[in-house]
Amino acid sequence: MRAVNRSSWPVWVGALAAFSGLMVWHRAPQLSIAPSFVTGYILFALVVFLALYSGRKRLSMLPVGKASVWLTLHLVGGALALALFWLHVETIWPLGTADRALAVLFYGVCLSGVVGYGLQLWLPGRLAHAGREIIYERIPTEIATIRGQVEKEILEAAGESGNDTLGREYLETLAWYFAQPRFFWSNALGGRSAEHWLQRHLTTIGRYLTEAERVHLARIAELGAEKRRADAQYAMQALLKRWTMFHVPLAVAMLTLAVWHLILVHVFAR
Amino acid sequence: MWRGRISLLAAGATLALIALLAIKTDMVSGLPNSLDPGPLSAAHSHFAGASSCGTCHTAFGTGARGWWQSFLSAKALVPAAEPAGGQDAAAPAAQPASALAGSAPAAQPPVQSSTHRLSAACTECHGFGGQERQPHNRVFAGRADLGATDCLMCHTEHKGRVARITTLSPAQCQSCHKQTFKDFAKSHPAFHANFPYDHPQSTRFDHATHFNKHFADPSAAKNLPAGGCVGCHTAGQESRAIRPANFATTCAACHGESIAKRDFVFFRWPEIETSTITADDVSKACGVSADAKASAPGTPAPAFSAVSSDPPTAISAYILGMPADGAPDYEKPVQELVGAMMSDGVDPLVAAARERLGAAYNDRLFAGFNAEQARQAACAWAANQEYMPPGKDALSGWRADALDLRYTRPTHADPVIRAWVDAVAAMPVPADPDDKARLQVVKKELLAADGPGQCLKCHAISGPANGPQIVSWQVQLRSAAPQTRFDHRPHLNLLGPEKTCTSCHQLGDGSAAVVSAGLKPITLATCTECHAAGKVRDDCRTCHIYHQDHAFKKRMVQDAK
Repeated sequence: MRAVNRSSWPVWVGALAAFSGLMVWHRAPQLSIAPSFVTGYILFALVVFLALYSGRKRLSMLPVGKASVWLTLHLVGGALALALFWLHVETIWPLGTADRALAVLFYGVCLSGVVGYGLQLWLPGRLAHAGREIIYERIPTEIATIRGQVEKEILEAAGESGNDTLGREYLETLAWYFAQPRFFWSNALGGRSAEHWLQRHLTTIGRYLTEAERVHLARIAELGAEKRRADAQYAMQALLKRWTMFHVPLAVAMLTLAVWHLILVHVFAR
Repeated sequence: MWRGRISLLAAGATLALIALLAIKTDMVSGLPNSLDPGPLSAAHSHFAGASSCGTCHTAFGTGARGWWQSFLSAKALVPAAEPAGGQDAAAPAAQPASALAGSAPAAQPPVQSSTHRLSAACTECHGFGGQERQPHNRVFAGRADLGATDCLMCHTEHKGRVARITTLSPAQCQSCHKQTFKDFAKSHPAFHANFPYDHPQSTRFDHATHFNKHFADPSAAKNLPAGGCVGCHTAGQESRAIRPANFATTCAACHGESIAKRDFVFFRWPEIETSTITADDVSKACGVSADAKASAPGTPAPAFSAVSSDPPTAISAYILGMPADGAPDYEKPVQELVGAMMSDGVDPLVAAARERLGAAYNDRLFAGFNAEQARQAACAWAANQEYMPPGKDALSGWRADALDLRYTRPTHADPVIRAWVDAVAAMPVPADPDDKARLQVVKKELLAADGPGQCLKCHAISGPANGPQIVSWQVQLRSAAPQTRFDHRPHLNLLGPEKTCTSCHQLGDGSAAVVSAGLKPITLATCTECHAAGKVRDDCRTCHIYHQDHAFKKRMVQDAK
């Protein structure tokens, strides 16, 4: 889902208007209350709201609004939080150990969020064009099946030709490829390293095989391509899942530190 | 599942780190500290050490209970600190409501009965000339709507060692002042009509007349001050006020001689129609020599012909409380005075002046008066003769000459003439109409621009015309706006040789706008030539001061020892 579309632009406009109003208020110092307290509390409330998005995903059975609305609010709220953070801190890099740690975590959450949003825009389209769709949790089984078929082909080739050339090649080289998902980043980023690697090794061994063995080699090549597509599915789906392994824990750590910051402010600065 | 576990781990690790880094509360060691809010400004950086934070933060070092109590204190306020050294009690006089004209405060918070606890810590050391918690540390008459202020409204700490926590933005000023503007050049209110000469001039000097008329006279060329403005004004290390140099340097070349031309004639032996002083009286008091021309005893007295045909001086008439325009009215007290002077010299005169002038009397009035000369003069007048002083040359100072007791001022800034001018100016209006009339005559003569010494030609006199007045002997430069500041120094150096004083202080052209100094008023446009957005600094605090007489309190100095 794109951050700005026909249904989300009113939310963006509303957020922009709210922030503009807050900024105008902030620039005209108030005698009755310190602006940093107001911006701080608004920021804290906004961050808590953003954190609720994770809970919404876990409790999808609850009637608390459409997921697309939540995502829109999460994206808009995230952008607003970054602007509010700068308004609150009045600098990009604050002073003090606790405040700097809080800033590091905040920027970490923002960065991971932006990366995650980018991945969600980019990868689903590629997944759709990456061949047969496989559920993430079933990919290891799928790879094990392919590996079994490759080994079966090797055994049949050895039985028919009486040579172990193909078998030795498998043990020395191809077994590594078929053991588990390989070429993670190449597959995730749309590279062709796996294809080239497999092609190179199969072409090399093909020179030393008989005609009968080459039939089995062609079958192994097809299974290798199948494995490559499974690897691509694995890499892209893993990226879509793993970025939240950074985003969410960082957000939790940031919220913890934000609570500490709030305590310090109430105890010392007020 | 893993994401949940990692999240829990992250929260736990964060809490552990906070706790670990909070154990060592010393901010000086340089080690990371989860309580560290950032470095203090250079001015406060000496608050270093294990308990330094407690200087301002009362919750520091009080443990969990103190933290909890501090956290729960909703208003975070403490009772207002009692004024140290009676500062609040000694608040300055109420200012007129016009002081904030055009800048009435915007919506103000209700006046609080207590102050922010951090602000209270500030005023432990920092003192001000007025009330600490009032806007501008002043009480503005008729402005009860002005709320109390707190230090934290404008000053916040922990922004780094190089942070200037005293620098305020125009927006901060405008949180109270209604008349908001973003740009000095475009929206600052116009200066007063005669700015900066719209204050009582302590000395009268018409720049325009001097430059355009007198200095243009070729005969005065040799006396002109060299270097233009700086020939008279000391533009050295002085900041706000560029004082003129002293009289000898600036004015004496042309005016030095003229100020001594007219003597102060204090007493003149007047025309007497009926002499009540007999030759015997004179002989007894003054000896034979003083009686040379008096009638011998037993011989018929010749027709009396007074040696003087003048009336008494106005000042002596006022001192003796007598009319000065009718011999029958004044000759008795005058002859009584002279009769007393024949034996006691100047003392009867001093006693009469002391009695008459009262509080305005000053010992300098008759400083240097030769009592014997006064006695001899009295003897001569009593004998209906002119007094002939010894020697040919008339010296300066008090002297008797012919029929007068007169004072010749030796130089500018003479203390005797100044004492007489001060005494006469300070005299209250007498209740008696005759006395009142006499005093007015005295004032008219002595306080005139062409009076003795010509003091009032340049020195200004202030006060009601019919009441006690004060003469400004010292140059008093503009001080009518205590909340503004101006430093001449950077302006003199920056404007260059061709654009010095006259860039701002231009000679008047005789129009109505020209004030007594003979200079054109300085307008906003003069300043905005340089002070404007994108040019030289133009924020409020460039020229305006918030606090009054900021100083450290005695306690702070004592604690530092």
